Amino acid sequence: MLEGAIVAVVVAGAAFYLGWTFWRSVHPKAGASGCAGCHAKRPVGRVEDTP
Amino acid sequence: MAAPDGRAPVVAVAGNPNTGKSTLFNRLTGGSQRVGNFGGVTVEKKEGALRLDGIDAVAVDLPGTYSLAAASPDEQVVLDVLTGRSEGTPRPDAVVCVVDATNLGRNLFLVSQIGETGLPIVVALNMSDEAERKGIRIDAAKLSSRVGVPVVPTVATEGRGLEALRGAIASALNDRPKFAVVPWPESMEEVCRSVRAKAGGVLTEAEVHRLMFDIGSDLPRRIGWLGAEPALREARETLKLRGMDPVSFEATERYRHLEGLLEGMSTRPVTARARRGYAVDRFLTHRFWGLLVFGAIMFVVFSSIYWLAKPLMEGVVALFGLLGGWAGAALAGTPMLQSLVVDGVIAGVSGVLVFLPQILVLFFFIALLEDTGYMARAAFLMDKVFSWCGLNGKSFVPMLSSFACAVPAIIGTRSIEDPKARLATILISPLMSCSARLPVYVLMIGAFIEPTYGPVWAGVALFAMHLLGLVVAIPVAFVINRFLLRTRPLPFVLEMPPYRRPGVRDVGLKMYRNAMEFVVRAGTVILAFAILIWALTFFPRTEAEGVSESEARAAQLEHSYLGRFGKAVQPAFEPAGFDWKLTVSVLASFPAREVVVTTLGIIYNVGEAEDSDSLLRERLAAASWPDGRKVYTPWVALAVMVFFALCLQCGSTVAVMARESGWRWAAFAFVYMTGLAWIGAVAVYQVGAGLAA
Amino acid sequence: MSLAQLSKDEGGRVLSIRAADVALAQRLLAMGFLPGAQLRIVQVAPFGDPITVELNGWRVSLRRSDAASVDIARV
Repeated sequence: MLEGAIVAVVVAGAAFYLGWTFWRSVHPKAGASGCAGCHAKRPVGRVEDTP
Repeated sequence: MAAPDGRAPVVAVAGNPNTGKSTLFNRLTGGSQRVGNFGGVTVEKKEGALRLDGIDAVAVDLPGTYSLAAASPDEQVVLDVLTGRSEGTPRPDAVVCVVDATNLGRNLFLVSQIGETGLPIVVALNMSDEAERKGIRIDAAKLSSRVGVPVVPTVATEGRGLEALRGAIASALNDRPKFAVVPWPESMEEVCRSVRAKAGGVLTEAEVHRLMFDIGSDLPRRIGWLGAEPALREARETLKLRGMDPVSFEATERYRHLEGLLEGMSTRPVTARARRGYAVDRFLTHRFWGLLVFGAIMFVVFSSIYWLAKPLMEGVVALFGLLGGWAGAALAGTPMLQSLVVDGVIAGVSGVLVFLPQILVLFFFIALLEDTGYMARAAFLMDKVFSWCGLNGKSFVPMLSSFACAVPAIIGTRSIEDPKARLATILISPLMSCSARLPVYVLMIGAFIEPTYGPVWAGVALFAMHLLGLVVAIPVAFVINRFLLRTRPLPFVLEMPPYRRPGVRDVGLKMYRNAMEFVVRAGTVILAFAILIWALTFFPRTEAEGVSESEARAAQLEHSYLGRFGKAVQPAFEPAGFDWKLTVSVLASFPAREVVVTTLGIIYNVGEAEDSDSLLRERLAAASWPDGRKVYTPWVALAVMVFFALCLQCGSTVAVMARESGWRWAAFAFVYMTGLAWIGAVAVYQVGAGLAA
Repeated sequence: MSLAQLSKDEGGRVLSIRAADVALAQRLLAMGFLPGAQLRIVQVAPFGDPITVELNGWRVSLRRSDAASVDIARV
């Protein structure tokens, strides 16, 4: 029984991992090129202009 | 001194390509580098710990660029990071600009642009030894007083000047020195102020300046400024009317300003000495000799991947074979777990690590060729061949390497800056017949071509299979570039650096980094694939009584999920002459192409005997459909080979493609290649059937 | 005449950049193809294209189709 459980966990883990990498690459974070409608945030850190 | 929110100061490292920036970065950060991507784009990001006097800073290596004009993704990333608009990278607290001392004028162009962002700058005057040899005398102190920022002479390859540089960076974080600003005319500043107001004040002065010049910048869209287009167009028209053509004004003004700053300082090389770094080019780009040397070098690279890596690969396989045997014995009491570990996990890990020798060898050569400067010459020689189908000369080395193995080749496409050309190269690389396809060709030709038609035709068939991929790749590249990738190609303007001696540490570091990245990023995916396919062949269990071990394995495969799937899908392959055993073997070869031969062996009950090769051939030759006719005719054998030549049954390649260009493109590649493979196999078989009738 | 029309070892002086493609024009300008710059063709690839240009002491290759954007006077 333990044996079966271990195997099930490993196989499920592999499937989940593949699905997760796939999902993550198809839903890029905001700021990626080609991402319509995302706003680039206000610059991080102190904003300095030339004197 | 930490930034207001208490985090470690961030120091960006920028500069033109070919200035030794990477070497300097490596030296500054020691071995502590982390590699990733800049927010959401496939541009490589290197970060490392930067130890300054009592300050723990973080150094970020920016891609090498000639200008901030954002025409390529690399330039866009640099601009974004410096203006704080890059996801996941904070706005730097200082910038180290690496400058090639032998080429001060052009290098300072970028520095001057960076200066306008208002960030503190330290100039690393690199390759100062080379400059001296060429008769260029630069008074660093004088230059520093002219431009307003510290100038530190360095020789990155020898580690000279690093301490002074670290000190200068530490001071700069405190003193915040600014680079001399170009005195733009008031008539231009007036236009800029008006644009800034129209944008609602969300843009900095520096960003507005850049927008005036960066025609086609997508910054307005990204910040959601809806009225940008007409406003910018009007502003640029105004500038033009006032005698400042937006296209050329920045360059002419900036260079004029720099000329003024550099006046009286000897910054041009003594011509004769300068030419020495290029003397060999007469020979190496020569119509005849150049191509000959090129061919010889490429031959060495290619055969090294093929032959040098081979014994190492066999070593890996043997090592994991031992490991598998040991694990098998240890887990003998739990057969399911044993099979998972031995046939799934260990086989999977071995399948990943077996690529390491090829990757290391290829990246050794790529690093060597790049650091000496020869890579630019190779691209120069080959460009004409590639330009008409939308690629450029830099695609040559990846495509050549793909004949050995597409996996390292696809990683190697990073050197192609033009994202369109890079993607196109990645998409057609697997069409080149790689070494893993060879076992299939050898089996089919050995069993069905050679006995009937003799060794000459066998050789022709083998050659034709290798040629097939290349021939198909050309129209595919053309179609991809013309119809699929709508972006404008980047202009192919390539710097020819003088020949330089490569640094051993840098070559080693590049090899190591690429290899580790592959193992961690692609390796995990490949392992996951291996485990899943294992599960599909292991379940459901078939209990076969009183049969030999090989027969039991054959029965298990037939009734597993994969076997059932293969049988269900087989009608789709009927027009190509494949029976269910072939179909299942093709499907099972996804983790690694050569597995198809092993799977065929299992299905046809060939054990681990000495003569398993010839036994398999016999069994294949004898195989027949239920109605008695032979499964394998020479035409079926050809169809199988054509299918294999054009398909993408290689989990590792798919994983690497996904890593380098995203899952969408990897999936597209899989679909289009499988489609082409199917069409090819069917066409061959049907032609054969037609001829026989 | 344009840069594309020069032969190997011939020299010229840049007059202007014709902005057919803005990205190309700005790339060339940033690299030093400014009005008044002196240049020389030092290499021609085996198939006639691309060409290597020497200016300001360093070298750059470009395709003849792109070099056509650079107006020069023969020197």
